[in-house]
Amino acid sequence: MRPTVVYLVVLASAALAQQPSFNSDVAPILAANCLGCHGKSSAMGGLSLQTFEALMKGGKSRAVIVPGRPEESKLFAMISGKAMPAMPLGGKPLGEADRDTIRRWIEAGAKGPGAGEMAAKLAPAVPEVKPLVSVKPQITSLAWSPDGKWLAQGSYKEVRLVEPDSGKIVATLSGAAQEVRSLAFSADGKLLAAAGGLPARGGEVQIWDVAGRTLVRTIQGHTDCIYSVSFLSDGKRVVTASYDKLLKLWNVESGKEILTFKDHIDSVFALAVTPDDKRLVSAAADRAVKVWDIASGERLYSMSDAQDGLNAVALDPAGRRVAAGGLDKSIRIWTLGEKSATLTNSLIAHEDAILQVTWSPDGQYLVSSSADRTLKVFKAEDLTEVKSLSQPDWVLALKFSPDGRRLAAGRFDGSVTLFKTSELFTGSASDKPLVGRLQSNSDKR
Amino acid sequence: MRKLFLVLCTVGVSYSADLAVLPNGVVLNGPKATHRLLAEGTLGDDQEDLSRSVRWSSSDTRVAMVDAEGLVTPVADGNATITASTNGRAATTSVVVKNFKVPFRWNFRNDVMPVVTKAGCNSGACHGASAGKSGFKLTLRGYDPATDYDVLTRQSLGRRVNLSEPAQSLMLLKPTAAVPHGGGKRIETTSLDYRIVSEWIAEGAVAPRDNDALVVSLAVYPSLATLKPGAEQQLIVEAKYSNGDVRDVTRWVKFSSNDSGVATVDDGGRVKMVGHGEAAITLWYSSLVLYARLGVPYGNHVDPNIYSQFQRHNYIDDLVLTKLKALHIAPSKECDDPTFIRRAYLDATGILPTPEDVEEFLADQTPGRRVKLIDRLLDRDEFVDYWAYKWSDLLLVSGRKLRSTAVWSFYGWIRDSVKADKPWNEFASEIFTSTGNTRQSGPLNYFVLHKDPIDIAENATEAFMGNRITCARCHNHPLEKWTQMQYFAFVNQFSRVGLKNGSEGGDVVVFAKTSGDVNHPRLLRPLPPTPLDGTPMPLDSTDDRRVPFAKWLTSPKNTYFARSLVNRVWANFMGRGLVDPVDDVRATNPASNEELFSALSKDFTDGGYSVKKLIRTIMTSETYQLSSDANGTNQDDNRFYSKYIVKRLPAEVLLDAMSQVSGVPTEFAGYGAGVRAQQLPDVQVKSAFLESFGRPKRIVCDAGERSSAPSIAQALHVINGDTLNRKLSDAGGYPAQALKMGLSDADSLNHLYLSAYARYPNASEKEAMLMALRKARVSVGPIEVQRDAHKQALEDAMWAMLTSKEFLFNY
Repeated sequence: MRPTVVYLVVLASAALAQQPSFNSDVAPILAANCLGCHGKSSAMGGLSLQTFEALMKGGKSRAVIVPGRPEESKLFAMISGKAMPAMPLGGKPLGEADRDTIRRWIEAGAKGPGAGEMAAKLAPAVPEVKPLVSVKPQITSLAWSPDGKWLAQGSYKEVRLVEPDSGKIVATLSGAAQEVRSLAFSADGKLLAAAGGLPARGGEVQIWDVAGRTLVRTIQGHTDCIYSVSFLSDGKRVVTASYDKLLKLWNVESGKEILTFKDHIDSVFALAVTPDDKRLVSAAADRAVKVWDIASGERLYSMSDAQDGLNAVALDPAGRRVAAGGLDKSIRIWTLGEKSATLTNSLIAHEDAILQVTWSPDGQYLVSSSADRTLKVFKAEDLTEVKSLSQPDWVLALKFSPDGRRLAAGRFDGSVTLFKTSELFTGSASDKPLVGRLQSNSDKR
Repeated sequence: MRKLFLVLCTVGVSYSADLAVLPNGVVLNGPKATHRLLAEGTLGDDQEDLSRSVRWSSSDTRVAMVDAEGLVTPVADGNATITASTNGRAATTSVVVKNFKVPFRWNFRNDVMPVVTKAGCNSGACHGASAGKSGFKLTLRGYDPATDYDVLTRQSLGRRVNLSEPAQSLMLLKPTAAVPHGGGKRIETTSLDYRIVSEWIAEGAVAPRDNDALVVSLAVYPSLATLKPGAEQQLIVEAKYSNGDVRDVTRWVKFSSNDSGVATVDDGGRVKMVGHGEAAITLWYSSLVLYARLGVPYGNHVDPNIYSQFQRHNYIDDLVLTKLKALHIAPSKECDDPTFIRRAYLDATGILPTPEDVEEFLADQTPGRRVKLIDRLLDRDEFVDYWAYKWSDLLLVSGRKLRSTAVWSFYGWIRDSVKADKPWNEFASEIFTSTGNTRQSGPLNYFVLHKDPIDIAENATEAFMGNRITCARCHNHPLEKWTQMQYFAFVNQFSRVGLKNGSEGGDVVVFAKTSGDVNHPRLLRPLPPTPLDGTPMPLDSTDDRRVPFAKWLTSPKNTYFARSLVNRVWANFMGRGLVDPVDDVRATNPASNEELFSALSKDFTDGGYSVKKLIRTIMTSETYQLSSDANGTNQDDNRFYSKYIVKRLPAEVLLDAMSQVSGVPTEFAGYGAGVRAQQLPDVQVKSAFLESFGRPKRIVCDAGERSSAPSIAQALHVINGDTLNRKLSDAGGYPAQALKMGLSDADSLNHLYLSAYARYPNASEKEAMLMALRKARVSVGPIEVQRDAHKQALEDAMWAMLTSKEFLFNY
């Protein structure tokens, strides 16, 4: 018996001393830990670990493996927590042994599968399923440039810059992980933040240079996708809200996280920032609206009046009143104070969940959209209904132009309509689009 | 299925093997339809699943193909015959393929939801929880497909379904564990389930429509089978749709066994017989339920003469015997006359027979003496007391919420009804159709006890149908066919019961209001008042909404009504309901002898709902008259009525028995002398004895309110409690009276044995007791001391008898 054991021990140490093989040692580690986000069609940060070749090609910025130099290889730096964000994003760090295997494999030259050896198949077994019908992706987000010249439309894996008057698409900014769930221009109109990510895996914010139509930076963080993004007025920081229950403040320049706002106990779907950059307001599936101090990340107070999860939150132009809506079909308005807020108004406004709420730039009106397929206009001071417009589908995105003259509505069916606000705020009962539907890319399909 | 069993019966004797293919005739509608077939062999009394060993073939493989396990798939429109053959035997079934070329799309309601439900996504422990899981909330077991559709395809900005890249849908990535999933891997990417969901997404994730076909009924093959020990049997479940389609939905059915000691069942509906006896395999699909009964006879060898010599008095005996035969259980022998008279008195009237009653009965040696005794009992006032008390339990008569006059009015109505043997349907109808003053009309107090429409709805179904519908208040009932929509349409029948003060203090006038509704909590609107599966009444009608309910409730078509009452009465005599618990007569809780349960219920319905007649039928059966002593084959049986089930006397009966034997009545505050516990109209009357022995509080309609569980308090009450000791030492008590009359110890002993046990003491008992009594006597000293010692000795003897099992139990 004893000789066998000794023999096995010798064998084992021999194996340890050997160079790790890509197929049998490295690939399984990558498959188990990384492919959820860096797989075939979900290559976050542009990095796919689908095949050896894709791994060596690296991500959007550069190669992630420098053969022979583990310390200079971004992949190794990130899995060992030496470069941010640490990988796997939001997940359990790799074990010591796995990290060591990868380190030794890179050290030994990061060799691929040997001659005559098939490359290991790394992708998680996600079958190929093609749409059998033509798909017109939903409009998940909208944003007006501060000068009102562009209307940015967020859709599946792309942002379209549209000239609102003509409806002409002047640029398509593509490359987002999946749905672009939130869009925001910087105050100077130079940058456009497009937020989204992969559900249940991670969030990303793409920062685009509007004039050059180029991707400046991709901020990655959160462990689930991002549902709301906003620039602070300095244009140097963005704040994000994610399904992972957190809000985060980021440095746009470095892409690094500054702060995490942690207090919600369910997915955060909406956020708003006061004009003085001091406060952050968030609404979540946990039924709470929370007010935060942006400088310290401290939660100042919560408003827990809603009876069910919240989808939308909006600040009035002065940053003093907050409106929120969600699954309980109600719009509530609070007036913000130093230590608490006062519920000033509430109304069961729709027959189904409220999807969006927005203030008119003059602070006089509130507009809401709902799963009951209506858009409704209310007087902000007492929530009396001014108008109800039936809609062909759910309005997922709802934004006033900066001059307040137009209201853009983007829908689940991929359509976008511009409404003339002058006609929205009068009592005349027309259900027709007041300006007209915009052409969009996918209409051509 | 029936046909097969006919075959089974006829070939049973000759022991020739036979083969059949189930189901008989299959239609494959559309290109994606498939159907599994079963090949069932029968040999003697046993059945065997041969589906995996027969050779399957199709008469026309250009129309339909069949694989090695009997799965049929369509190829083109037409007809084909599928044959199963083995060892020279063959059986066939026909297959029709139609609409093979018709464009097909998966349907959310009928294809996708069954996958989601079967995978357990919407179970109570996962996303079907009322708070959902990880921000994702589905309706419990998919009771509301429209809401689930929005949640899956749209909520959280279309987070879960990706139309552009279907395989990237979270709805597929999670259950296949392609991304970490708290619930683990639920679906394989290579499975039909994956294909259904992914293709449905690829087809544009089409929404459920109002005109989707709905599942209207289920069928299971085989629904009944006797198998060999250790045998495996595949079940096939068919769903029938509102458009006439019949589909094999076995794959998406949830299976469970009601007795895993007899049979276990896996996710795919494959049953394994692991013990002896009978098990019900419960099937749940799309809010409908059904069960299959599979049994394995016990390993006993019962002499056929035992069955042929069994004295059958009526159909109860026939049906019990059939069951016992099938399970190889021998019935116990008939109980003796002393046992019978005590049992019959206690079960029918709640009192013990007097020594005179016993002596008279034992002296009668004519063949019809038991039937004559039963008929005498059913005419006694105590019979009325006992059953009025029982139905007062059922209707929760109590001074807790009712004034004393109201309690008397309610109780009086119940007692009069029992006395007149008022048909049970009239009894129930009177409650729901009366109006007026509660003091004059007893049943109206029902609406003083139950004011809330939800309370009325739930109580009425529990009391008169043995159905607990409460689950459906929040979601479709997981164990019944009732949906939340049906629940609120049902509740709305009771939204117009008006109450106002009567002319005298405490009186209440009950009337039918012409307005008022209960809203469905999610739809926020009232639904037309509908008796569960009955016909809706227009919302704008101002007729009394309770009247159609009463009609539906007591209609012969509503089998729950008769079954619930039959089960309660049967359990009173037989110790255990045909369905157990006694007031849980739901579709997924099978009877231990369904044929008997149906026959009794039909007899009760056909016989004009006479409770007395039902009681007589039960009591006159041989089954009721079996001994409680087990034989070598029925030691473990407490479900199939092969012996009488021993039961503890109910609290009130026990107390009254102690009063009767001791000769000292129990006094109840506020009630006249001699009023027995079973004559009290109200359970608010204080009695520590009754409470400790499980008198129900009559707060909720639940047979479990009356406890028969033993407790320390009971032991203390019996052994050294005041109740019994006071009665024994009382000047009017038997020991004092016996001494006064100068009865011999032997006479006293005879009297006491007849009185407490309905029998004479046997020789050894007599000897031992007389010896003990003699020893305790003092033969010297003053006469008072001698007499006290004698009395004490008699008290001790009685104490020993009245604390014995033979007294406390009915056997």
